[in-house]
Amino acid sequence: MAPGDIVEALCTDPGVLNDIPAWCRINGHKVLETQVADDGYIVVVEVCE
Amino acid sequence: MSAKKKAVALISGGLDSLLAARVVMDQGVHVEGINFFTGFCVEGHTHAIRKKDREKPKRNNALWVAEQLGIKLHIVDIIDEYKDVVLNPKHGYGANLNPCLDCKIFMVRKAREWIEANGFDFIVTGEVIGQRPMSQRKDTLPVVQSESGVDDLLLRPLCAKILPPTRPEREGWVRREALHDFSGRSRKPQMALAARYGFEDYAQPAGGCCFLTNEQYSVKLADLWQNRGVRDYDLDDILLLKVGRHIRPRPHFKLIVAREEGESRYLQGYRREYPGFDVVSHGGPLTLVDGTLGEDDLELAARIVARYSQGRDSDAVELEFTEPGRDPQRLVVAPLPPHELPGEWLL
Repeated sequence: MAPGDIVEALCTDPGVLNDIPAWCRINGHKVLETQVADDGYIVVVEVCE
Repeated sequence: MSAKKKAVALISGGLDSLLAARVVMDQGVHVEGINFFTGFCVEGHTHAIRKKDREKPKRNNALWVAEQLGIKLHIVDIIDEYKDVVLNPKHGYGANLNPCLDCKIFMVRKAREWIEANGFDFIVTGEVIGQRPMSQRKDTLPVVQSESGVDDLLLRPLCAKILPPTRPEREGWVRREALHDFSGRSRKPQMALAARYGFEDYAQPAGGCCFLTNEQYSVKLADLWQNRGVRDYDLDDILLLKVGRHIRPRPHFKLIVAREEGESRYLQGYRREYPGFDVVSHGGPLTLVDGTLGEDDLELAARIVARYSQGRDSDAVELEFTEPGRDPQRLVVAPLPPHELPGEWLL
């Protein structure tokens, strides 16, 4: 993936609300949005490097 | 001036791997973390599925450790390769289906391949001699080194002073006198070192990081192999074994009954692949069917699900049975009374 790409992850694991932001902080990417949906959890990430 | 040495630390997310990496970092070595995902990992968020554990912090401990240390973490999916370790461990299993020595050899071998591919100099682990009954004994620590092919490029900072010097020590890449001499099962030395570093809220030591060490999980995994007639698994199999109440009334199918709201929500994610029951007339658990229901099985399966619903004491419970890609069918059944549900059906 290239810097600037946006990834929307739809997940059933509630742990992603902690884990994906942590992974982003470690690897320099940006969390744009997190959301609790009826059927899971949505995390939107911008690829930064 | 010689180039800064580089080490990769196996980061399970536990206290030992956190400390081992930090001890080496303090000596000016560039450290990055590597975490191998086998599918059998016990993580805080595995328990986050259940509503009652909602207040507990949900996190991947390996990621948390990497953040505490400020290091890069390479998460490597080894689910497929790891199958051979689980199915054919050369050194056998522990008390359950845990192939701990083969697992450690495998992971250190993978770490060796990684350092060779990425130009790193040595490997760090948080192993402590005498701490774990299979892989961290005085006689098995050398087996990890030799059978992984890493030999003396494996540094165990927490107990290095009571082990033969490794190449990083002999070459002066790290100072042996600044390493440690921990041994045995007590975690007190590690907790004291963590306090000196100011680390708090780390994963509880001795909490267990692998479902294969869990007796109940191992029973379910062995059952899966026995009833499929083949010792194999895929990722969905091993994830589903972590969730729900597993009931096998017949060899050719089992029910995975959610135990509460959080598990129902988790199992909902599998509705496109597995047939399942929803209780319509009362509150009740989402239930998946693993296997194939014969004509005579549908009513029995429905009665078992009804037994776990809030209609368990009613004369009749209405359920909906849905197979992927097909219209749901409704049925009304009498809940199975407790005395008709043999204990041996419960895995």
